[in-house]
Amino acid sequence: MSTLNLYTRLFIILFITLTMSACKKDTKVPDKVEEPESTTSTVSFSFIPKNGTQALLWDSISNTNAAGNQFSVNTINLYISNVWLKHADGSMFKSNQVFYIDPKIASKSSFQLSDVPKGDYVEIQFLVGLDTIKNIDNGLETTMDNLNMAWPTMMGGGYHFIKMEGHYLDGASVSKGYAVHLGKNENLVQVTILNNLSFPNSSHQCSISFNVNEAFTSPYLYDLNAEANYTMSDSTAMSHIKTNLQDAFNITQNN
Amino acid sequence: MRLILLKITSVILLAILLFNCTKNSAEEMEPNTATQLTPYAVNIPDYFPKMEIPADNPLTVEGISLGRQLYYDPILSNNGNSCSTCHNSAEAFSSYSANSLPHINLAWNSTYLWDGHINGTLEDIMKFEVEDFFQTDISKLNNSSYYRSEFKKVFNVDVITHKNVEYALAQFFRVMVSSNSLYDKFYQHTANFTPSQMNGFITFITEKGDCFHCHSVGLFTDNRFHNIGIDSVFTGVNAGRYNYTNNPSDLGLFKTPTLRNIELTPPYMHDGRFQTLEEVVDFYNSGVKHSATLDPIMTKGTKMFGLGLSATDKQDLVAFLKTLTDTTFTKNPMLQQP
Repeated sequence: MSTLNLYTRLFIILFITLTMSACKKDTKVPDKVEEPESTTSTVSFSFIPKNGTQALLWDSISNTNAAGNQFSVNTINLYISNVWLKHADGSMFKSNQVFYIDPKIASKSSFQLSDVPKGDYVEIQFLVGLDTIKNIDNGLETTMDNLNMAWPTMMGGGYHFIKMEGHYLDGASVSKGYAVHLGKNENLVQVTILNNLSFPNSSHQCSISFNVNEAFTSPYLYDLNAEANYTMSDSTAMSHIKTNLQDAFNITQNN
Repeated sequence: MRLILLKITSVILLAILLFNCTKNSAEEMEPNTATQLTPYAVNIPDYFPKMEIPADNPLTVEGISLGRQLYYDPILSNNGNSCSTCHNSAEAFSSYSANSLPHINLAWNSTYLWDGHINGTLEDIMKFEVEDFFQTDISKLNNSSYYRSEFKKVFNVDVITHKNVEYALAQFFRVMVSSNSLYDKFYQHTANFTPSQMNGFITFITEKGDCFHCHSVGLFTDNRFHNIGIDSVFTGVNAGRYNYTNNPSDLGLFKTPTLRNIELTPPYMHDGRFQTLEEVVDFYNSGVKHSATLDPIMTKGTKMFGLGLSATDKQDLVAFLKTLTDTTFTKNPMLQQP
């Protein structure tokens, strides 16, 4: 082997190595992997309080319920949990997630289910409140919102399921406050809405509307002047509100 | 000649190859010219929310120590005052004379001051305190060899900025945690209440007194705003949050203060109108004034604008409120003047 050949070979080896190194560094392209199409959809739900069919005007005594009470709404805080979706064949997608909702705060006025199987559904169910497993003292992660929703141990423990507060005009047109608070397992609100929902794509958007008037309207006509304007320790009042809330929600698919 | 050329070329290629091989690992290395800092973890009970700590301002022993130094140093102001002038440790980091809000558990706040006109993190409220309230002359700190050395150690900076000061103070505020009162021991079943304290607690935590809806158990504040009815006409500072939002529904609303260490933080209310806890309880019991924005919680059924508590109930409620005093907090050596 001549000296010339040795250096020639060395040159060729170095040149190839350098070229490969440079190519590897500068033209690093990830191997293209064919990802299987996802079988699930991410569905976003916006929570929209309404006065009848109109968007709720916060802090304004501009609503009238079936009993004739003129009332405002200052606060709505609630939990929506255990969202279930039913197919036509009766099979169900079941989520056990809990979502704290405060529609006055944009970041807390919606929630997402990220693993909904693509397909068509004929019914949605959810709880306004928490199931019995979670509705215990410290049953949820300790957050500021959850601390504010705690239902005192001495009054049964767990959490407020919903708080709706505001003002109303009494018979003498004097402004008074009301606080519709629901808690305790027997007052858990089961909502079932028959509605065709179709989720064929990777993401969809729905709106859950809450008609505040329905809290006072049917089946129990709830007159704030005659019944408790503060429900927390009034089991009858809470029972009536619970029943009224069952048909206070509706769902619309936006895309 | 050809041989020489090949030799030279080979050497150059070899050098390039070696350079290429070492370049990537060199790029991945972070410069490490700052002093090694000691991470610090705050001891937080599980009935408090998780403490959010910004990624760009992790807690370190050195950073907290610098924040503490600044807290007590009038160098931040132009009038001889320091943070501690109006936030005295013996008064749970508040001040009777200044009627200042106490510095207790502010790490869990997202709005600050009585009307909540500062939002965000502790870094954000410190920006207000340093740049707007104190109008700190940063050159005074930069002229101090001590502070230059300390800021170099903590933030690896040669020139101190307002932001550095704010971040150090924010670190100190994050360790101002009060969670070791008699109430905490009661909650953790390591101490008992007297019958009077227990009766007061029942009044607090049930609708009898209905204090808990705003003073949520745990932090004893809901970090929200309410009109509790101390006025019916709202002008000047008494307009509260309205002065910030200009929203009529915010007239007379003020931030709910924590009740932790409330015994040590008179006078009470945003304007210090009540000198004692007994006066405060008397107000809630029979002095609430009506207005359009009065919180709905303050008007209920037969207890319209009052609680109807007996004299004993009122004494017991005060006894319970005093169980929230935490002297391990007010005397914590880590929080005292260095």
